[in-house]
Amino acid sequence: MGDIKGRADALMACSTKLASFYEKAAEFIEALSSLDVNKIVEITDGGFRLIEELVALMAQNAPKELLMDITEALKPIDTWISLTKSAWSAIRKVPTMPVYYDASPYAKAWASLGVANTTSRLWLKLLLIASLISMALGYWSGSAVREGVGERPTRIVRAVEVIRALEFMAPMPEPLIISGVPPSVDEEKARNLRAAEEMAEELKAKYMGKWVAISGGELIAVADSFKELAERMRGKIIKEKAVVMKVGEHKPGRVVKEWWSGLL
Amino acid sequence: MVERAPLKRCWNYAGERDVRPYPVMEFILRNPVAERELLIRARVDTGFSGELILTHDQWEKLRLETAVLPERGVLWTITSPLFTERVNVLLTIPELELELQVVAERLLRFIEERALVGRGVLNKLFLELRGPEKRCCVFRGGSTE
Repeated sequence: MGDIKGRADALMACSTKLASFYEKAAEFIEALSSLDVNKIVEITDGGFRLIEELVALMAQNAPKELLMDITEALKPIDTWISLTKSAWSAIRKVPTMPVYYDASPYAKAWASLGVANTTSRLWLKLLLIASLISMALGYWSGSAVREGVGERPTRIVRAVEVIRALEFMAPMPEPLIISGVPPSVDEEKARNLRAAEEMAEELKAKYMGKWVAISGGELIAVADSFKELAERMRGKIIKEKAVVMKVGEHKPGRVVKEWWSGLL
Repeated sequence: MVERAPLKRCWNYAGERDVRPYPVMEFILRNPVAERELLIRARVDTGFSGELILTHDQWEKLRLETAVLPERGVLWTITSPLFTERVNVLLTIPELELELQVVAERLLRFIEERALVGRGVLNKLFLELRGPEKRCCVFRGGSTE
């Protein structure tokens, strides 16, 4: 009787840990929508921790006679975790990489999207691992109910086959995200974009709701409407380049998200 | 009181030699900063959530570098995100006595060969797609009903 209770407790502890992992996965989806790199990295770290704890908990508590049966099924997990972990350690360096070209809004957005893209693929891998563990827990649970009269884990073995096939859909992310030649950036444009970012707070304090123009790295015109601003800018634009915005509505450095399903 | 008849402008579908013809709209785009304007023929694309995508050529002709926004756009597609540059422009359809201030975009690392008008603009218009006649019509001043 005590044995059954102990087994149920261990099973419950594993299930709770698995549930925490799925909660973390939900947090990850939320962080993705905000493209907040720090949050994405922090949550992915948490996801990793939970999966490792879960595997350790299972190895520690699963009944020995079952361990023999499910060990085979769980074999890929260790390999997957170690491979995924090495990719993750490379990916998590990206947010701290020095930005090596000068157009901050573009560079920052590029890095965030790179991290979002690769961590999503990494989470696919983690979710595959979790689904394998979930299958093993199901078998363990069924077996516990039958007090050890378990059946051969045919379903787990089949699940492993399916998951291995699915692996093609979730290849290991490339360790390096930012690669290739950085896009060429016009110096004058970069200067105006930088100035807009630097002046953002001051503009908000002085000209909230107004239209402003920045050229040559300086504020050249302020107006109540876009059309009026256009008139005031004439003759003041340096090297044919200027940044125009409505203070409060357009935010320097922001990335505006849109969908283009027409490209499908 | 005399009720004003709705204004209407129609355009023939384009792309006869494409897989299937598609609706297009024509309008004048104006950059008030550089005092440039251009007649644009754009494909109607309800799959694009933004307002307007221009080709690099149109962007240059309108000298839109004189008024770029300090923010970037990212268009999410099924395969990858595409970055864009954004700018405010004035869109006019003279026959409809219509002028809209819209955000035009161009893709930063890819070449788009056609201009597209998206839901950001389409949702401000009464639009009628007369498929069998291969005509796209826009109304202003009241719906067709």
